Amino acid sequence: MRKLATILDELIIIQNREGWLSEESLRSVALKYGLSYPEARGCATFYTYFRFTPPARHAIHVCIGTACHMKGAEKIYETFREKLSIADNEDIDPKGLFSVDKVACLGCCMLAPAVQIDDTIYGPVNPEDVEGTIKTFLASQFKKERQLPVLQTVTTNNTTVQICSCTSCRSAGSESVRHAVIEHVAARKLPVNVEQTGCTGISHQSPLLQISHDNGKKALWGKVTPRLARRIIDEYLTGSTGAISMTDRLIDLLFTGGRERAQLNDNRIDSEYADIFNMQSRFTFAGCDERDPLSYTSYINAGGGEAIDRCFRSHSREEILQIITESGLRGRGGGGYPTSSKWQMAMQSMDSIKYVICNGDEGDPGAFMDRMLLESVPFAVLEGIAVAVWLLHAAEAILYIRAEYPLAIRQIRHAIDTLKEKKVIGPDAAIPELRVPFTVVEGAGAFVCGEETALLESLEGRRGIPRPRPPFPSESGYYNHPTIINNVETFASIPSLISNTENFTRHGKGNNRGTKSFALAGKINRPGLIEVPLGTTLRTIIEDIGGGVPDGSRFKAVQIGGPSGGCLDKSALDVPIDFDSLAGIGAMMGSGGIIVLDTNDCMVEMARYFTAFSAMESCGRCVICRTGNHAMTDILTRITTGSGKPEDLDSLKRIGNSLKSISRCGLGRTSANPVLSTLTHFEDEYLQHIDGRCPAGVCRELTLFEISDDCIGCTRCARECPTGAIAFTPGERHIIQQKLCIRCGTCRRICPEGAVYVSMHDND
Amino acid sequence: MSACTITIDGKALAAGKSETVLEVCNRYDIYIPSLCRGMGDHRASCLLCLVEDTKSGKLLPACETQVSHGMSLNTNTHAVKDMRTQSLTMLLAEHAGDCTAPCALVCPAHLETDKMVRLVEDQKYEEAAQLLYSAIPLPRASNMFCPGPCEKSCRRAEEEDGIPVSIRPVKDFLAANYPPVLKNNTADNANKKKALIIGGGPAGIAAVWYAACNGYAVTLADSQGYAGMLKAGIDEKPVIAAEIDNLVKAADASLITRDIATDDPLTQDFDILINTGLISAQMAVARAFYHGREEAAKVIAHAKGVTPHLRQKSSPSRLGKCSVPEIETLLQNRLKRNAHKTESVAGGKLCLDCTCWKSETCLLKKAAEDHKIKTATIPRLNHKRDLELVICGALEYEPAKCMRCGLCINTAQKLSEPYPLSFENRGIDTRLLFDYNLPAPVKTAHRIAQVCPIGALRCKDYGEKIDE
Ligand SMILES: Cc1cc2nc3c(=O)[nH]c(=O)nc-3n(C[C@H](O)[C@H](O)[C@H](O)COP(=O)(O)O)c2cc1C
Ligand code: SF4
Ligand code: SF4
Ligand code: SF4
Ligand code: FES
Repeated sequence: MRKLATILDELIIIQNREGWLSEESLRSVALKYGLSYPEARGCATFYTYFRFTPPARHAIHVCIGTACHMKGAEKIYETFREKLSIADNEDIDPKGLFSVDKVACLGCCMLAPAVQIDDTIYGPVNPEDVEGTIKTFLASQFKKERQLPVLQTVTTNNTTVQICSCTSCRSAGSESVRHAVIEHVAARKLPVNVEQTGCTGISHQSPLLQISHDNGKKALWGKVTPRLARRIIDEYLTGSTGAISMTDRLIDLLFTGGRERAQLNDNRIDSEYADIFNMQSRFTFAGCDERDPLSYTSYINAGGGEAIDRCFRSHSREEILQIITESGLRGRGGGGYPTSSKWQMAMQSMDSIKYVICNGDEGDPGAFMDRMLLESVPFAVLEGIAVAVWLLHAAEAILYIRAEYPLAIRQIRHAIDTLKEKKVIGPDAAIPELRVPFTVVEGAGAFVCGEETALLESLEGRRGIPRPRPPFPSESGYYNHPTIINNVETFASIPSLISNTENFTRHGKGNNRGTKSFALAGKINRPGLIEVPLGTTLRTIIEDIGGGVPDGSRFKAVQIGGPSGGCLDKSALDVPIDFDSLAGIGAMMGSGGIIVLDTNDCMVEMARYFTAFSAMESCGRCVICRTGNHAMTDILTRITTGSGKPEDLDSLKRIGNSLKSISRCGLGRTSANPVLSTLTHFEDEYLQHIDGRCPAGVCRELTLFEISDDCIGCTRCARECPTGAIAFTPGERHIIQQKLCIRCGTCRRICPEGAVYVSMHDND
Repeated sequence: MSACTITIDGKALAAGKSETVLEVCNRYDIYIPSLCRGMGDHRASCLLCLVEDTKSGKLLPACETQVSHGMSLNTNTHAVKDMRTQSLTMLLAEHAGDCTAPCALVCPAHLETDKMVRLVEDQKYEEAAQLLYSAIPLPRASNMFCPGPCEKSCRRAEEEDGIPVSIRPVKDFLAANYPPVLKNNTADNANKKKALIIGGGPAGIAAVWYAACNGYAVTLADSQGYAGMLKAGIDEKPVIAAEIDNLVKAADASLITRDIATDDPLTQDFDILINTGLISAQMAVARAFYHGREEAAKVIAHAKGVTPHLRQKSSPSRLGKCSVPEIETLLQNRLKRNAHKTESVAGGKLCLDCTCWKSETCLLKKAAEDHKIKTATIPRLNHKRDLELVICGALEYEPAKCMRCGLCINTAQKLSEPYPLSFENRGIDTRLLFDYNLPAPVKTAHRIAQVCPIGALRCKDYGEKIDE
């Protein structure tokens, strides 16, 4: 059993209840757990989830994840502080109403820049929307929760309205859509089921609504509003029942004009996405978007539960391990370590107590597939874990999920309860080996705790400082017992891998079999989550599935693997992407975040962002990691603000290589990848910065905007320029007065002709 | 403990199974620099003890790596040295402290300025004066000719009023009231070894004083007498003439008023010969003092067959420029340390006591010197420096100097009565956390502070009261 709840568990409860950890509560918790006050506070301060000063009434979290950062999150953060008149060394406004913090990633990249106020997510919030957002939030505080009508379950005439319930869709408003649908269906007395489903991955179209008929016909809409949802139901469902009267239709038509009618067609996306789904190989994602994630029945109906059945009935442990070995499954958490070797090592251990841990910490600020799997296919994840528990005779299974994923935690807990009720796991389980606890532990916000040994420290209630390896966790892990630690996606692929091995191994080749999910973001037409066979080229992912870069911009680079990954230029587009090929070209699979960059993105600034992230997240043990990343950030900041020197590039390489060769854990070892890879592929861009120009027009100090002859004199830029640096000259070519220009880039963003360009010459 | 064999630098060595590489190396006297050196559940942090695995080419921290049979390591490859240098550079980059106070660092005469000022603060005037003469035998002359870089560099001159600690007035005060005295001067000149000093400039005079202090009977040779380049000023400045007189008397030196070449037969009469004539000609007074002293020290050491022992002026760690609030913090630290002292001592501002108390024995400083780290190559971080001195019971802690090795925490936990101590925050903000409700008792504090390899943790000085 998990020895005892640790001090961390309790601190999270207190933080959630009181909004902060006072010295008093820290002392009393310390006493309870037999720790000293410095130990308790020392442990708590390692994690960013906790506050140590009294909170404001409402908490504003500005997302600074990669996608939001690229869309100017820093500016949003500053604007919130400014609008709320928050003093320099404070984080709360003078009235104590709002606190403003940064948060690593809300996982709402399609809403970037995204902001969370208490439990509600808003986005995109641009600087000009800040005030409005605060007002909207305050107004929403006065709304009362409405009582929802209870619908009869319909068994005949199976038509189901499915609404995606993942965090992305919820933050885009799927809950209000669902409420609207339920009310509408109830009011119209329609014989249809209304159901929540898991995620499709098409998060830029959130929220999604799907109508599926028992005859297999389906229709899917994106960006659905409650209004549109009602309309869809009227148009597509009432036809058969005739419940909608002529007058209603007339009124709708009169009041909304043709707009809604058009949306009905424009927002219908099933044919487009059928193609895109066909290009993917949805293996772990299979069925996500078709069933209620919390319905065990539909999981079983879709073939779930078979793996655990086989374990119990027809296969020996050796046979199951053999299947996993032969499938060539490699860990999806980043390192790509063969799963079966880890498991085998732990199985062979003579220790009578063993553990299984599912790593759901997912700290990369641009990836959210683990969250999606936990929310959308919790039963598959749990079944994968159950197989491991059975194989190992484990004493307990622990799921470590970051506290920033409240919905995932709720869904998983719910699914565990369901499995207990169904006697699949827990004290009454049919299979004796599964009569062990499945525990969910919340991680309190430290990227390094995704590293397996730091995770163990954290689970044992300490600061998340990685342990020396060897010994590896599979020899000596949780409380020094053999422990296997795998990523959520690894576990989620186990059940279908066992029940349908062929379906897994036919993808990829050699040492890189199966499929892998990626989070697509950046300058791409269809950002979101996808799953493709290992060995798919970036070109396929970006151009075919992702729809290419938006019109008017040109592909420049792609960043893979977040803070531990690297930037690749277009020469890498045709490299088949797998664990080994990426490592060979200076990137890393990492968590599977893919960010597409175009000519308006600055590579140096990108490198600076990730290096600053690593500096902030270093645990502080190794001098090279805690200091080296800061030193590199300083140099990069210098370069992006115009005081870079040519020698700086050598310093960057030197520090970067030291990080790579002597850091003691993966965080430090990979933290230089963003810098080193951009230095390899984009050294020119660094040199241009040192010469005083940012070719992407991102670094303000190094940017000069000009308007070209393409200007049609539409005056939009003159009207929108916040400093009036552009004279209003209708019909003529506009001119920027450089003295007044603050390089905010507004003109470039809005010019319909793309006539605003970044000048590379000094003309002052 | 089943034994195994490992190869280090090509030599096969026997090792115990549960030993770390560092332990084995220490046993065989193979030098491996290490600061955070292992204990029990130790985790490598300083990354100085790196060794190279000859098979994989990987660099491993010796303190954390368990030996295994057939292991083959090199301790001295180019990569190893390179990375050790990197680790040290980074340790120093985050390190905010002065190994040597700026006033002492800039003094061309290499006077331990800060020490002198503190002796004066403690009213140990005699001691202060002799320290002064040892570097600057003619303080009043030096005050007249030296532009006083010590006062210009003084941290407190960076405050808004621009007034430094009054170093030069202190020198004048000491020179006026405490004449130079030869310590332990019991023997008669006739029974001493004889030293001839050629050149009567400031360098010569410094050499006279140094040789006399080292027990020689001194003779100075210069056609112009005692004066050298100070001569120009002497006539108008009887003070200096008197000062020279005093010193010569105290040294009991005799004078030959002619220029003597080094091959002059006369030199045969002397045991040692110190030639300062040439070196001092172009130098400013204070610098000349140092060169005279250095020259004398070299000759005397050579005669005794030892290596000359002069104060080294290496200073791997420097605080650099401080902002006004930072200086205010440093002043508060000083006042916290010496609650009885007030702001006005010897008619001036209180000295901030910049020199690190561990300066003589600090392992980081030593490692930096051994590896020849150049101060110019140490990047200065933008990160805010945490200069405030933390005091908890008998423990004094300087976060800005802490290298987060955790030795103190480990030690505190293993005491027979464990003392609660932990790190707080993470990354570069990591620092020690004390429980102020539980001030550290002297004995505990002493035990804990002892293990700190550098000047970050200190037990308040209770003199003999601590029995070991
Ligand atoms: C800094 C760092 C962060 C990591 N974060 C995660 C994470 O968020 N989720 C994860 O599954 N693995 C993460 N890993 C990888 C884990 O250490 C470990 O390799 C993985 O959980 C093993 O599972 P797998 O074999 O299924 O990939 C991280 C590693 C490092 C070095
Ligand atoms: S590499 Fe960085 S994160 Fe990893 S143990 Fe060292 S300091 Fe901590
Ligand atoms: S701790 Fe060591 S390196 Fe730091 S200032 Fe003191 S003597 Fe110098
Ligand atoms: S104070 Fe402690 S952690 Fe810091 S350097 Fe000294 S012994 Fe190491
Ligand atoms: S002595 Fe090994 S890392 Fe410090």
